[in-house]
Amino acid sequence: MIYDVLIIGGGPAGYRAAERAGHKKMSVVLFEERSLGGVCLNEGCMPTKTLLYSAKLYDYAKGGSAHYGVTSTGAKIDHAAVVARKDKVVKTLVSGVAAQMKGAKVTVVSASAKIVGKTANGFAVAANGETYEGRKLIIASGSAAVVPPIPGLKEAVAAGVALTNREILALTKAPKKLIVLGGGVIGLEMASYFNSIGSEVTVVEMMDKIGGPSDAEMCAQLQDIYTQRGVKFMLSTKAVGVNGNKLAVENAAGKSEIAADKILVSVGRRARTAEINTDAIGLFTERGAIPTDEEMKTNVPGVFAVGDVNGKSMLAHTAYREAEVAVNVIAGEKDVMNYNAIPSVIYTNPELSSVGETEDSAKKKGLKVKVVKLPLQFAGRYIAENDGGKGFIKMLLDQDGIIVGACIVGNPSSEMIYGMAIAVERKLTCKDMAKVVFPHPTVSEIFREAVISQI
Amino acid sequence: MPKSQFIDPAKVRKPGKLELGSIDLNVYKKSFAEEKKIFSKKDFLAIYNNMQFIREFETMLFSVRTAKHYNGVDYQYTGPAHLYIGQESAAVGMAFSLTDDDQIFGSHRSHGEVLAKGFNAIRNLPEKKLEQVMKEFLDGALLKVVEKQNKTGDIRDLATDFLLYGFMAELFGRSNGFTRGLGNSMHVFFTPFGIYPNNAIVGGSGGITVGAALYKKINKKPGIVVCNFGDGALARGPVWEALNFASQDQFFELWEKGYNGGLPLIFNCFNNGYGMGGQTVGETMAYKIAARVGAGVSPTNLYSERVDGYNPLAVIDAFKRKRELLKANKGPVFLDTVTYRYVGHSATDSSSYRTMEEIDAWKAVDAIQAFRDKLVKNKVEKSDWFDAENEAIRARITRIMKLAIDNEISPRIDPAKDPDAIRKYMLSNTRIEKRDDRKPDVNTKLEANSRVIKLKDKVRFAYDANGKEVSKLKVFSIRDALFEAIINKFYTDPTLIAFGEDNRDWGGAYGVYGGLTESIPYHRFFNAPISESAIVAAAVGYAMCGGRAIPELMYCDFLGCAGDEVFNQLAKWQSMSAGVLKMPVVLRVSVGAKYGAQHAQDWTSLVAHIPGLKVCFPATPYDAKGLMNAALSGSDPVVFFESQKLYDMGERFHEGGVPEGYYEVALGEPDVKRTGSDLTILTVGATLYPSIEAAERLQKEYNISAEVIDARTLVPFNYDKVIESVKKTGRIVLISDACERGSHLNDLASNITRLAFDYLDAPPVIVGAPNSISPCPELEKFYYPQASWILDAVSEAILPLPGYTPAMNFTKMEKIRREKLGI
Repeated sequence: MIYDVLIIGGGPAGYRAAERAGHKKMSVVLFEERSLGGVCLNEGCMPTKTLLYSAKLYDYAKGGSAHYGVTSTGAKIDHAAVVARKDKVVKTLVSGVAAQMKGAKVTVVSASAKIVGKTANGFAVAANGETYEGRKLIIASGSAAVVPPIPGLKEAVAAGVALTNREILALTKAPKKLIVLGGGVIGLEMASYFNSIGSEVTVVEMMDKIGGPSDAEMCAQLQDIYTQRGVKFMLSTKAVGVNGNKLAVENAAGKSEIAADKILVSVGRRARTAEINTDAIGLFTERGAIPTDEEMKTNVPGVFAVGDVNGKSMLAHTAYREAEVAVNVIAGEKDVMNYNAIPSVIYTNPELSSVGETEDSAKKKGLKVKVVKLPLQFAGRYIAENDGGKGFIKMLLDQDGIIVGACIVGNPSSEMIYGMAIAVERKLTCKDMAKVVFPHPTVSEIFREAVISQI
Repeated sequence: MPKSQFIDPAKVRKPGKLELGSIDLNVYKKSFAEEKKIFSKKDFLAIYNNMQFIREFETMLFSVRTAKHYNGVDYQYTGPAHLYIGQESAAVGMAFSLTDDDQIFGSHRSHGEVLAKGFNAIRNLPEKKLEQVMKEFLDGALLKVVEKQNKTGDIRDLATDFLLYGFMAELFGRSNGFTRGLGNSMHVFFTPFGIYPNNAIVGGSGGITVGAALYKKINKKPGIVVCNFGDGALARGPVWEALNFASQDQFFELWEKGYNGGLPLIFNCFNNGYGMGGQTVGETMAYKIAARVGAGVSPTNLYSERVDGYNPLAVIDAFKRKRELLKANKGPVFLDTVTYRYVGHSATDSSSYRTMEEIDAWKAVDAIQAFRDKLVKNKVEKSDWFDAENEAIRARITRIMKLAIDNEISPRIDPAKDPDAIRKYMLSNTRIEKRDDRKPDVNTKLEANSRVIKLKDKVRFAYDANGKEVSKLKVFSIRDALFEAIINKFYTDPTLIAFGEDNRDWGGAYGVYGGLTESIPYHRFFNAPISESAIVAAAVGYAMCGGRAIPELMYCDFLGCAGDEVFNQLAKWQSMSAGVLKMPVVLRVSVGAKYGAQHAQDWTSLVAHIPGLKVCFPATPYDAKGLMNAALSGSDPVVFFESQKLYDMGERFHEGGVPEGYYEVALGEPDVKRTGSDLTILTVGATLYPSIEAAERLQKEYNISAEVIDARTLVPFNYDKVIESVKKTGRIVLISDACERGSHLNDLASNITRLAFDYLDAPPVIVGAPNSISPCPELEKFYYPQASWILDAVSEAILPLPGYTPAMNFTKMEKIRREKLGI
């Protein structure tokens, strides 16, 4: 039979595409060699949030709640139990996805898939010794952690000293000393967890700031907070070699070595294209990723690339939206992807949440923006629940007064940032936003404070 | 290849020795006593006066270019200054004996020639005629300026002011300049005085003068043509093409009585030893003596000789002798007039490539001083007279210069006030049915032509009454349509000539001219050598002198061989002359197919890019005849593209077929060939047919109604019909056989987007040939846009066609990928 759509990869991009296409009455095959849910469900977003929640409870128990008049004694964290719970959560979520696929009448093939080539009607994909033919092909093969070509690192990975996100989440014993190579989202979240449960953590970052492209001031505050909690940060520092369990680094101060039980390699992710034989249909790849247009079309008519594999944003929520766009386009419904309003969150404590432009990105683009900065204390609920908290919001307005970006450091900003995402996506002005009534008292009211300050 | 001539193997294979004869070098030897018999005192003093005028004029220009003042007057001149200082005697010698019927053409270094020929005309023209020229030129605007100051009552003296003023105003970019300041230093000319365009492209005048000489010969006009150029130009291919084109055997062996014999043309090389800084003897050329070049062209050696350009009387003598040869139909002739320039190639040249010693050696034999010394020594005039003459010349140049730099008296044209001030000269858009009223010279009556008779039996519509396609043998085709238009014009315009490779006995490579040979004599219709540059240039010269020409390029790909002639000469002389010259040339260009990378390219876009050319590309017999008729009745250069895929094509669209009588299709009007409501397809040239096929498929298979519009002309172009269509359909595909990058379709698409942005449901999509070579015939379906490509493009970029699987890739990412790779 000829299917309407073949989808390679069962992560957020792939399963969302499959579910949407299924609901549009298309016949769909979804290929996934590991568990459904991809990195997000199995070794990324979801398991880390499980861990971080345990760490947060432990932080409160071991003294963090003393400010609020709540104390306890003998607080303990059992890392093995935390990981066991994480596995249970993952299992629940993965079976949820499987149920969704069933509901959408998606044929799930649990095997690695390779593109065979073009056919008279579309494309052929081989998996499990069988060949499947489909009119359209959606590539959602995701990404893998980059293991950079640092001398000795490959050997350290083989020896189990160096780990990627996949392996570290499976550790049942907390390392005494942990080096986090790469101070981006994954690195900081893992640093946060292992710091909470007592590991001695050193973050080695090549750039002069942590937190990737997030707002510099916000990242600096986060770095201060974690420094106070005992995390060591080595910025503008390059890893130059791994020898046994020692990491050789080089920075302005010269060369030195740091010893650790484990080294987390979290320097970035690469698109998984080599694995699926993209050359068979002449797919254009650049630095390993498959570039797409705003309809998620690749350079091959009828082939779409969504999620991490197109190298655009590498976030699960971006992948969802991209998958929807691709399926809508296949169905002949006009839809385009907009990357201007993709929120991003670092789930540390406090959380760092952003959407749209930062001061830095605006400057690089030559956009003239007005920055509105307020402390979160302007929202009463924040004071009530964040004793001594120094969180703040930054809101960026363009020359027409349209909200083009926002970032917040503080809890629970991950649950609030979508409000600003709506403003950015819909190109709202402060005047527009001021008409929205916010529940009181909430930390979200900080948005209202920020917009009202501009009217 | 006339059958009357026989290539005899015995003859061409016979051993022997080619004797080249000899070439005279500086043979002038007359004593002053002999010279006095030829020249009056007035003549001697005029020769001196003219040389000194040139020197002072150029000294003035050098001064305002470098020192920003002259003789106490401040002025900053920023334009080019390729000066004549040192070469004056050569120019005056060249011009002195010319008549009012003679024409000179020159190069970027021609100020001296302009003045010398101008003074010659002022001496020779009847006073009434002089007065008329001054009164009529720009409605007397120049005359009004100079007559206010000149109270001599002497019309020739006044004309001298007129010449100096018109020239200077041109140099300084003033609207009272001879070409309204649009020509400038390197292109000054004034046709009423026999001064024809000077050309900033080295050797650019070569082929043009051949056309001018052809005009004289074919239309029996009196006078000769002088092609002035520098020795540097002898390295240019177009100059060699011109030398050969002007010397062809056919003029002597095949052209009819009354037209038989050589062209009245003097190739005069002002040999100053340098091509810019390159030394032509010893460095960049091999001839050692430029006069040798004549020996490479014809058995007459082109009557070539070297003349001492530092003796004006020697040059005059040579020109007089050469004129006799031309009178005897022995032209063309070649002169190597030796001279030297004292100043640099241009104002910025510091002469780093030559020694002061060399310059001083020439100054020591300075022609003007030597001539003055000779006249003083032989008691023609006293030394004081010359000093006074020099002062008078200086005073007059100063006086006229003040007029020419005065912003009140001599303003520039003002594009701020009139935005079309320059644009309006790009095309003349005038209807000229014929360029002369005399009876056209033809061999037979039109009705007696065998092809005209045959065409009467042809079916003038592609389908018979039952809708069945008429066979190729019976149908009136595009090649017939072109023939019908062209032969008709041969019987209307006596000045019309047509030429190109294999035009005559062969009938044109694609049969358009079949049968024309029996009706049109050689001198109006002839085979050209394989010299694309000279073919186009000759047409340019022929048209600017008063005729109409149809030159032909056998393949569009050969446009490159005539690049300068099409892009800089054919396109520009109407505007560079501020409308003085007309350019009714129809350049037929055949777009190939099946012949690979260098014989199958559509270069319409290259031509459309150049301002000053009209460009059309008909795809049906009705349009071909109508557009050719219109092109042949206009005043502008038209590059007329024809597709080799379509010469056989019958008329499939025009109701009633192709009319037998005369009609015109106006250039610039696109034509709706199929009506529709959902999609517009705008086609260029042969892509009309795959577009019709695509429209039929879209209707049948996807219920999409496509309107097909044939652009017919690229320049000019009326957007109305296209915009009207887009307003109805909201979608447009543009298609042409040209490579996609830089295709004129992009220009059309961008304008359509601007003009109908709110009506478009999707961006206009271009379907062109890939940015690659045109391959072998078997692979052409991957090169020339096919009907299916339109469906591919529509489905990918405009309106997804349900269940459609495209063959060609129109995705944006593929476009980006290819552009990144430059393919």
